[in-house]
Amino acid sequence: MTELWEKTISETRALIAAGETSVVEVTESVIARLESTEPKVHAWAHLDASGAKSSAQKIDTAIRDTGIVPALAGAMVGVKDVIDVAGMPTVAGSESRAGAGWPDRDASVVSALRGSGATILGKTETFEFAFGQGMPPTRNPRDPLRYAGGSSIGSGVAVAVGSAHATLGTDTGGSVRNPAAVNGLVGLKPTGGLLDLEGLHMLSDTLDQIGPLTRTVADCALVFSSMVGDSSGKLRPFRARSGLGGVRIAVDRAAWPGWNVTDSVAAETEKALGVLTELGAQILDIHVPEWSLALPASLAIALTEAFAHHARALHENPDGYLAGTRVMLETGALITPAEVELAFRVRTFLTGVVEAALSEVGAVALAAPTLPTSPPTLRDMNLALTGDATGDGLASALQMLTIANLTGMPALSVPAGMSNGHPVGLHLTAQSFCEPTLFSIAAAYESAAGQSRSISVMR
Amino acid sequence: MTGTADGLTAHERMMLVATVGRTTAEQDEGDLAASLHQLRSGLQAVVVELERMSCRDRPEP
Repeated sequence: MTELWEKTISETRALIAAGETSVVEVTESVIARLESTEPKVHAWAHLDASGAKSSAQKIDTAIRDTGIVPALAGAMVGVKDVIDVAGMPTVAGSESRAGAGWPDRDASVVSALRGSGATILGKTETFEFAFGQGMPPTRNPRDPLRYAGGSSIGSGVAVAVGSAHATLGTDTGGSVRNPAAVNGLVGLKPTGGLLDLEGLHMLSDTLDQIGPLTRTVADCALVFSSMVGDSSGKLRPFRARSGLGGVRIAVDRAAWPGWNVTDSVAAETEKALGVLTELGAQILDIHVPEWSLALPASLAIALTEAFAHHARALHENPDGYLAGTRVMLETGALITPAEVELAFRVRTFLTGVVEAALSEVGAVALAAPTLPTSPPTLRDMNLALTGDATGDGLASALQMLTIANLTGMPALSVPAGMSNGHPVGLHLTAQSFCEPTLFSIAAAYESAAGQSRSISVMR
Repeated sequence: MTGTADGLTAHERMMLVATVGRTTAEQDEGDLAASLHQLRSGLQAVVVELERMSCRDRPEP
């Protein structure tokens, strides 16, 4: 028999609707799970257990009074600690914010989730200001000596161990999809500009997105729908005719060696492509040599925009920042206007190139591995953003993932097998506002592969 | 990060004072110079690649 904390969001809601459990009981089960796992994994920066129970009681009362069970009733949610939640500190993993006041308003997406009946448990650990520098206390539940994903590190690990049904992460260059892949979860970076980002402590105005991490594709779609709210009319619907019959998916295998994709990860990705083929999808080879333009352009934009946000605080309290973050921000300060202009020109150019490459073969999505390797050991992990993109490091992952941020296209990572005892992610990118396409393909794959839950929940 | 450049130029130090309001901490300078050098190398490669693509796409005379 599975515990309440192990259920998916839709299973939990169904139990609540049937009167077989209550939001309070689910809250207590998930908090008990959190208390048993937290000493090992340290996924949470701030827990508000009493606030969560109080919120759960109110939701139960509303359900009893109205008979209406909200879409996210019983969903226990964690929020990356760069997104404001009323009455909780936003430390952003930085000593520089240790004395900052606590926000009295929820970020827009948090407010939207509460409006759909979600219960907010607390804040999840992040690398300092989502930069990926330093090392938060969070540990990989499969191997504490290995990288646990980032920068939304606590958001990934919390869902993986069952101390939340869903979490919010932020994604400037892959920071939702990276921990999703490392922890065997589903993670979505939505279309650029789709969501209201008010209440987010931004890294990059034009690259940042807030996205959900969950155990299943259905849960991801549910949480995303609530986050989108009134903007859902912007999304383009997608209906596969039968299975994935007639669905064309592009793949650029020729790029994988340049991304340093290991044989083991490539083999798992090929198996996933085989499953998609069995479902009726057509896998079409394309080649886009321009991928290599993405990383330098993305970094120039991200670092420049990040410096603009941090210039004042960096001047007033430089020692409040980790040295690695400080160096990244100062790099942003020294990038010239001509270099930024070049980066934005590359952005426009690359967006056109990718859209044309997909259109040319009639593909609705691009498939690839999410990360090139299984997670490196912390000792071997190279955190330099601007560093060598050929080894085990952030730059290596960034060069694959940042393309979606740069082009604004939505991208999703879904669990696709194991490599050396660690999950592998299948990365799907679609045209802007085509999140339903990603969910349809990923859900069909997940159902056929039948592995999502067995590799995502640590017992 | 290991240094791949000797350090910041006088102009970059001046820019840092103008934008950050101070000179960089001594221990940061090597890392900052290396980071900037790496990023500029990447952007330079972008310029070369764009030029190469422009030549490739140009119709034969």
